[in-house]
This record gives sequence, structure tokens and C-alpha cells, in this order.
Amino acid sequence: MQVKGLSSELVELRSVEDVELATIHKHHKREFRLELSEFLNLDLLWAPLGQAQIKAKIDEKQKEERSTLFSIWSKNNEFVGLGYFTAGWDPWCPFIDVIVWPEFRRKGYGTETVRLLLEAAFENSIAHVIECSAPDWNPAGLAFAEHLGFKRAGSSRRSGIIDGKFFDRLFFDMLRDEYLAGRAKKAGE
Amino acid sequence: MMDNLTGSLVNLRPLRDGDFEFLAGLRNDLRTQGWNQRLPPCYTPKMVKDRVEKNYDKPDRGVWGIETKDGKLVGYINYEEAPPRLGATIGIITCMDSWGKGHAKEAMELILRFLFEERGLQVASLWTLSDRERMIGLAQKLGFRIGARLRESAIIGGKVYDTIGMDIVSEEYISKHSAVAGA
Repeated sequence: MQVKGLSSELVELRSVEDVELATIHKHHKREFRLELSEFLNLDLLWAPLGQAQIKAKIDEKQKEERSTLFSIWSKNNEFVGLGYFTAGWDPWCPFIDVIVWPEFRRKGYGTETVRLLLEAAFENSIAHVIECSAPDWNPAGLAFAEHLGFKRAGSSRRSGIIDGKFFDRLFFDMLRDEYLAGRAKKAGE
Repeated sequence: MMDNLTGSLVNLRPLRDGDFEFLAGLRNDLRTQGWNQRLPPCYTPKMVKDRVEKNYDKPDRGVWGIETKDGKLVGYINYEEAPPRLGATIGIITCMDSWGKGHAKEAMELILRFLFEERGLQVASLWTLSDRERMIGLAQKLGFRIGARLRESAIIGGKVYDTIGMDIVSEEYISKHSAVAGA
């Protein structure tokens, strides 16, 4: 039996290659720096970085145990964003994160990527609950998590400082039963 | 200003070579282990020592033995800052003989005082499990609030439990501390 690949009619999830670094760096140089820095877990969210520094950070994330950072490609062969999956802390409760470049948002790429990740986690691993998080300065990210069916699980206060103000980190989770119920509902539609 | 991490019931002191057998015992006792995934109870003193030496040689983290006034080691307490000088996550384990005697509470008070008054942090956090009512109650007494509840993320004794995130910010710590001082 073959495991289904991480692709659908809308997107394909691939390994991050050097050829994609220029695009990632381009986005980091623009107004998108904060979100991308947050996604890559950079120490200084505001700091400009060279392409080699970004590559080093990506390599670091790729070396984490039971984790993968991947690129998201549209079926039109456009590099539309990045995704991250880690079961490093505990395969029972993996953590996911997705970022789509601003010009490719509201086209379903992020939603489809998360659907593929949930499918991989719940149908090809022991995962019982999937977790994700977003800072409170990213209302689009918070709305996106809820749109996907994740439930709010609370927050950690003063997770960092942006524009002179502390920000909180909000957590979300989705149980295996909720995923299966959502899948069955969609199949019945 | 604190002169040392010294309380009326316990002192916090650096770990010593002779401590690691006791600490491995705490780590191997499923009742005191405290992680949200059950770790195999086969840790050796050397493994504990290696972990301490690898992880605690940086200025933004610390680990201490919790010692009673009569010199008995009853547990250990640690913290890691993230981001450094902004917030820290605290971890604590004490042996069951020590429970209910105020040792953990005083150890936490000493660490909170150090983090807020000497390191100048803005927030201190801890993570525990929904079945750890003693820990949750202790943290609430110290002024922590429950901020997050990640559902069904731990299995203990064949049952699933939630992971509980708690935190206290600097103003809350100062307010609580002043109230205690003025009582």
C-alpha cells in the first residue's frame, strides 16, 4: 500500500531547496519581515538578515528531530509559501505552522496545505491532537486557525514586544475526533 | 536586594556531584516526574548530570537543588528565559516526603523574586497537567493565572489530561509581594 503524497489538485508540498531562498529572502526584506521572522523563530523579529543567515536558520529547523520545513507550490508551479510540522516535543501532540506570501493569500493554498498536514498527522501517525499558535498582532493568522476548525486553547502573556507593546501568544488545538468528524461531514456534503 | 537564594524553610543551592542519584530517582518516579509525556524511568545519575552540564551553563537559565535547613535535598528547581530578559519558564520537582511542608512554595517564591527583582523579567510561566491539582493550587497561591489549556495532550494512568499553561506578570508579582509584605 502506498502512502498518499503531500499534494492535491491545488498545492504540492516539497522540500525547501536553495533555489527558493531568494524568494524567501525577498519577502523577509519587505513588510512581511515580522511574520516570516516569527515563522522561522528568529531571535530578533525586526532585524534584516542576509540570504545566508536565512538559509542557516532553515537548516537549523530542518535538523530538529521529527520535524520538517517545506515549501508550498501551487499547481501553476508558483512558490506560494512555507510550512512547518514538528513532532519533536511529542508525537502525540505535533505542532504545525503555515505561512503564505501576501500575494497568494485568499486563494485556498494555506487551507489546502493544512488539510494535507492534518491528513498526514492523523492518518499516518499516532497524533491525537494537533496544536498551533499565533501572536495577537497577527489577527489574520488567528482568524485562519479558527477558520480551519482549530479551537482556542488560551494564551501566554508577554511573549514578546512589538511597537513598544507586549504581545501575547494564542494557542489553538484540534483533536483527532474533531478532525474525523469534520472529514466525515465534508464527505457527506 | 537578595543576598542569596535563602528562605526560612529551604535554601536553593548549585547542584553537586553527589545529588544526581537522588535527582535521577525523582525523574524515574512516575508520581513526581511531571512531564506531559511519560518518560521511561531508566535515567541514570550520569544522564542527569550530562543534561544539567549541557543545558545550564548559560546566563539566561539556571538550576538549583532545593535543600531544607537541616541540609536534606528534597528536589530541584530550574528556569529558562525565552526571550532572554523578558520571560522565563519555571520547572520544579520535589520528593513526595516534602509535599505539604511549604518547601516547593518557598522555592518558587525565591525563584520568582530572583526573576522579577534581580533579572527584571516581565513574566514568569509554568506548564503542568490538569491532574496536578497541588501544583495548580500552589501556583495560584503565588499569583499565577491559568492562561492556556491544551486539550488531551498527556496520558497518565491510561487517562488523557490537558496541559495547563500558567503565568504571572511583573505588576501582579509586585502587587502580590507588596500585599504579603504589608500583611
